[in-house]
Amino acid sequence: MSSNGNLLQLKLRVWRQKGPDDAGKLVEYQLDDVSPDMSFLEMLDHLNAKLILEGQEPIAFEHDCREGICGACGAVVNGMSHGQEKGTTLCQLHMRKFRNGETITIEPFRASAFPIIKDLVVDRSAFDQIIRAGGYISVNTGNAPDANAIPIGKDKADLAFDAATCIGCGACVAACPNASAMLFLSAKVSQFALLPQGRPEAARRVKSMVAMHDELGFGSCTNHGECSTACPKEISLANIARLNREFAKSLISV
Amino acid sequence: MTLVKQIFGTSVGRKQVVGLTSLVLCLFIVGHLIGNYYLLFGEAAFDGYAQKLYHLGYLLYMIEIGLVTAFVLHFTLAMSLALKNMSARQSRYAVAGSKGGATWFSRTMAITGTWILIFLILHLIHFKFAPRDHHYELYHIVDQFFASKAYVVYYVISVCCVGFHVMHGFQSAFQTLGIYRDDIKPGLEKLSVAFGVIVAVGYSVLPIFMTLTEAKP
Ligand code: SF4
Ligand code: FES
Repeated sequence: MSSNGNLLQLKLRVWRQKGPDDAGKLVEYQLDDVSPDMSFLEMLDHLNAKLILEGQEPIAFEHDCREGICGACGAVVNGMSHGQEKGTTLCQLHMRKFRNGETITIEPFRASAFPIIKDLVVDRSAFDQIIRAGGYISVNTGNAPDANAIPIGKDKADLAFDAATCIGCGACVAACPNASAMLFLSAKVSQFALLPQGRPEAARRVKSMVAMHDELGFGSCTNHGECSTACPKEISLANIARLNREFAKSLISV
Repeated sequence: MTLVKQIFGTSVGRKQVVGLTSLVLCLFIVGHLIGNYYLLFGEAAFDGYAQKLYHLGYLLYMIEIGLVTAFVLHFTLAMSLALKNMSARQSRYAVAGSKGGATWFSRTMAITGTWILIFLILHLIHFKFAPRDHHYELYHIVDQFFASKAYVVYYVISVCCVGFHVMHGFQSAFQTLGIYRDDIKPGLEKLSVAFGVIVAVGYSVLPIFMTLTEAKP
């Protein structure tokens, strides 16, 4: 179709917003030489290079590792957090997953608790506040404890590990029809609740993390399940059920 | 934080009350449905059943108070959460997409719920608090009501709303109360949908049956 061999011609509609107070709007760009081997972020780099040459402001977007492990990247592509592929971060999404001639709409994660800073960059420091409210275990000073002093069954260890794979990207919030951060919160609660080291502070942790989650303006979970399918780490809804159990338990354990 | 504040002041606490009360209301829906089938056995059987319920006396009052409390808690807390959820995203996405999870039923809970509230109030006015001539018992009132085709349509739409609400709500209650595993999810979903269908069809069949049998000369 194109004269550029198997390069893709794409019409991009990108959310441009100058700053937090700007109204923002979708702006159209035509890109005719997108290699299918590019990652989504490389495609944006490519567009930005052109914009810079044309003297235009490049599109602001977040990224760091570009290998799906840091949680920095993320945008809503055609209405889907991190694009259409399941279990994939935006940086790991490749342009071969798109059709030649396709129109791609790229928007920032939208939630009141994630205010837009610029273009596709949103402020996710609300997640840090949730972690600060209890997403840790208190370790007394002194020598590092023996790693094998407390035996942990493999089943528990695996579940805790799965929960701990959450990279805090915020895609669950972006995908949730209620803009709830319950999947993130539940992963963080679960990774400790499942392990003996996390038990002593379990009740206090879940209470204060839930309270902080609500205070920050995230919505409440109504069990749609959009979060888990959007999550690049495929964090299970079973974690939300565990959080609910932990919360109920915390009410009885004074 | 006090226990009351913990429960009613947090999103998780509130939705757990919504979940618990929903199970009470589900029990009621099933009980009511079974009771309705006395209609099939004619006037005497149905009115006899209604009389038996009246004769429960204080027990009936207690059940009614329990149900009203459950319903009020369920509706007000769910609505407070729905309002919070609306303000949690003020700017809408230009393109609506999904990678799976939400269903039409899960997205319309507030709408079906509000419809059910209105339906319930009217239902009480139509049947429970209907002016009663001492000659006429409940069967007669029901029969009169469903003589109107418009009421039959309205009733069927309303009980379908209850069915749709239950399709998401039943499974959702279990998840909310922490009773969930990835391996029981498909089964729970099917059970929930089946329950919703039974409710919608089960309640719809009676007025439709009554209209059809009535229509015959
Ligand atoms: S739960 Fe998944 S989608 Fe949500 S922040 Fe963690 S990794 Fe991202
Ligand atoms: S840039 Fe680190 S996960 Fe995408």
